[in-house]
Amino acid sequence: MAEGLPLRVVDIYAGYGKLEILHGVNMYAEPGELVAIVGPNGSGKSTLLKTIMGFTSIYRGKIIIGDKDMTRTPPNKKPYHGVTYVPQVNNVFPSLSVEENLKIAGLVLRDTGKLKRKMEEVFDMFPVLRERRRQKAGTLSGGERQMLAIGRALMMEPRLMLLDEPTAALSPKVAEEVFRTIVQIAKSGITVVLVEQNAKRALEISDRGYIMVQGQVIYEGPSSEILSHPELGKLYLGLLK
Amino acid sequence: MPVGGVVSFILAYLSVAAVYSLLSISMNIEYGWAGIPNFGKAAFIAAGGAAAAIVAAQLGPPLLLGVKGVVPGGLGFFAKYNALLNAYAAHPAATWGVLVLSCIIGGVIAMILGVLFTFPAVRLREDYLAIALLMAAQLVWIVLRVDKQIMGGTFSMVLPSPDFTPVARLLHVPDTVVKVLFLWGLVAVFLYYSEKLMNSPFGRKLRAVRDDEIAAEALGKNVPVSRLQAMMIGSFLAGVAGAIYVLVHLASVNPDYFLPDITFMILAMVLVGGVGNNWGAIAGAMLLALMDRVGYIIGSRLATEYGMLWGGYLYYIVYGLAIIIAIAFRPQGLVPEKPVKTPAWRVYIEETGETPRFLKPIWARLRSLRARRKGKKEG
Amino acid sequence: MALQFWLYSFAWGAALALMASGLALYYSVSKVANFAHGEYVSVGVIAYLILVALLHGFKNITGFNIVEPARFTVDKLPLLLPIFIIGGLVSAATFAAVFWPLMKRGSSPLQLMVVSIGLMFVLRFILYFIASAFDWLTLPTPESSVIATIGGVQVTAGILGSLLLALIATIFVAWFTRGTMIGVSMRAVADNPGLAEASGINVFLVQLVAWFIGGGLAAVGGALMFILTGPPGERPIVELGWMDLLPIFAATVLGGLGSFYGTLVASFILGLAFNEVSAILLNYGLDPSLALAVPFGVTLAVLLFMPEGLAGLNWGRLYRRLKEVFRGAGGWGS
Repeated sequence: MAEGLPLRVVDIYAGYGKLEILHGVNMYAEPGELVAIVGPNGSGKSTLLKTIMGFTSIYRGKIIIGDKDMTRTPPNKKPYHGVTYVPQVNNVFPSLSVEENLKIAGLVLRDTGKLKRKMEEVFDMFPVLRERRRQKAGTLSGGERQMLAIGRALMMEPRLMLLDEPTAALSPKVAEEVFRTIVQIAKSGITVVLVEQNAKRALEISDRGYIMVQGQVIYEGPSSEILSHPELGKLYLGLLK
Repeated sequence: MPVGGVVSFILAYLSVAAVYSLLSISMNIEYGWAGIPNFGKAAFIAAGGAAAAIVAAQLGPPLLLGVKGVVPGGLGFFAKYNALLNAYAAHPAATWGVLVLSCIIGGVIAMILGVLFTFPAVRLREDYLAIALLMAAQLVWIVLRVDKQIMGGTFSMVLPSPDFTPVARLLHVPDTVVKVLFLWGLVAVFLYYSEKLMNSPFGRKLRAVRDDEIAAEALGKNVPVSRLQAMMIGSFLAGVAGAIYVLVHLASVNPDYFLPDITFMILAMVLVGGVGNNWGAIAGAMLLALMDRVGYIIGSRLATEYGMLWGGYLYYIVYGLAIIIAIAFRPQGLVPEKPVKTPAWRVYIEETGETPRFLKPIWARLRSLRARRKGKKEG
Repeated sequence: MALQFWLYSFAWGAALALMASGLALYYSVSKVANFAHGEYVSVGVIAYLILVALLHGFKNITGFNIVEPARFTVDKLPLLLPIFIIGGLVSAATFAAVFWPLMKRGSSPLQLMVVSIGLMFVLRFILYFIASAFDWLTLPTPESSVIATIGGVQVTAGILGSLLLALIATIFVAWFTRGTMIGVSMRAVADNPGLAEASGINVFLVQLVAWFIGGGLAAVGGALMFILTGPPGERPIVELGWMDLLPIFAATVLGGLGSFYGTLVASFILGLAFNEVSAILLNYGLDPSLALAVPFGVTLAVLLFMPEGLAGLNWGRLYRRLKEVFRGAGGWGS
């Protein structure tokens, strides 16, 4: 059982260069919680994840992961503190083999024996990856690629996982499989922050949800509450009852 | 240094600075507006140089003097050519004919070469374009050295420089003063043309292509064609400037004037002065030409009097550091780029009733600056 | 004679391969078209001369006196290791001091390319400074000792060194990029720097290593090319790197900018073509320097017809197509 890390995002103003995208975002995730962030296109959901990981310029505010202030920690140091990030697109290394993609985690694990054990775990979780271990990741199908991306993140023994639209451009059947995997990951104790386009499904599986519009959080609460709210779904999420 | 030395230094400096300004303006069209790394500028300058050599020895005599031309490289060429030079000296008007013909021919050749060399890589990333153009320039240099019938191979060929004496006598000043005035007059012509072009919708199109290729394409601008157009204009001006460079400034021609070094010197001037600003290009040319001249004097003294041969290569560190410092600390250059002055601004002024600062005449800007300073003092 | 020519062209290609694959290696991770690469090549040449001078305790080595001691023999092969390290250090230092700070600030590829020109000039000045201190501005190329004559074909130390080093470099890079963590990380950075960073890879360190190896290979290749291509004739020592720069770029473009193996193959092709054309030109009484038209023509053709270079070719399809053609022509098979 992994021990999840708590995440606190305190009044964050961030963006790219001079372009501010997040205007004072507050959010948190308790250890082992599955938190969904939903909202219309261009609302800054992905930017929030990138900001937590450290890819944007932060003008004001704090990001606290575990008990450490990680506002200024560069992205390549975060995996060593148990934070992993799966981007929406380009989330595997296409010219590396499946095995090499997973082997990169050896940097974080620093232990060959552990690397082998972890790799077996991932192969047990996604058997199709074992079949394709020598194949280049660029030749995988969309669903397999997504599995490899999640497997890559799991290799690094994460305690906080940031997932950016893991089901975008997948067929409904494969998407459902990915959602099941995410629930499993959260159940194992890892804190998961999930950004999703498919708001209904994301809220169904998550504990709590945030609705973001134009770089600000306009609503937060238990997912079931958002789903049953008479107005929210229709206004922002394109949910029809 | 005696007074005469200082005056001749200043005149020589002003002359070379004018030539570099012409070249910088043409480089600015390509690099500054269209974002094309023209690492092959030397080839287009060389086109002007080659045109000057061909006109002086082969085309000019039958057209302007009514005698047979001579082809360089053959036996007894220099004897025949010296006779031609004497004939040119007797006909000041003919020397001007040589200049005009060379400018036109050189410009056209350069324009054609510009399209030819850019075409293969025009659709690709900048690095491919830069590599292709650099190779082209190197090849042109080798051809000029090997083919002795163009400018006589590796020997310097003296050219019939345009004759300024009649005008100089009229104004009671030395020839060189008139030469410098003439060169700066040409800079004014280049500047006027370039400013006009830059503040037209065409200039705006080039900048759009430079800043965001995909967005420009989405707006219906043809990116490869825009680049080729910029290369055509820039190369034509470079060809003209090349002819002026060898005929007016140097009065001789040699393939080694067109080594890639000159390309990068001009590039450094544009970078230091201001990418995308013609006044900046001139400022950069003047500044670096001064450093170049001073460095040359110091370096050659080091080499000849103290035996430090590296003094002859001092210009490398001047231009190298200029490029690095410009990109690292002031990428926009001394005089930054200004918005395009297109008719759209007239509508803006009519609608809002206020003139944007960059459109106000310089005296109005100065007045407002002084007013603000006064206000500060009183407040 | 023909065999001798082939062997020479092959060794020439091997020296070019060393220099060009160095550029390809760091281009793949940093995406900088570095025009200062030619200066790393010159660093190799000057480093070789300085090391030779060091062996002689810096006595009687100024000017032409260096030429005889610098005769390349088999026992000078170990000198290539310090040359590799010197070239690597210069290259890594330029990356850390100039390119990396600019990349971190978000400079465009165009600006990085232009800054490499500035760097080229600065490095060239430093090299001129050193060369003029030793009075080595122009030198005849030192000879390369003949180590064996097989069937009338002379194998010189230079030829042996080039072929040997190209082989070692290929094996080393193949092992390094597949078998070591930093090598795999390098390929990961080449694929996707952002994701690599999110995977805990120190992108700066990986690039620094790539630049070290790239610059080292350039210096070694440069020293070998210097020895291979002479004598006779005096040559400007500091300009040698610049002269090699265009064939290097041609090889990297033909190989598919950034592909190590593509560049390797491209270098051998160019080596044969370039030397063949030089020989033909010489036969017809033309100037052999016109052979530069070969790399230039190849580059233009590649840019026009297959911008991805050799690496972008679909080798499987080519093989099948050739097989079909072969079957059709020969009439054997089903």
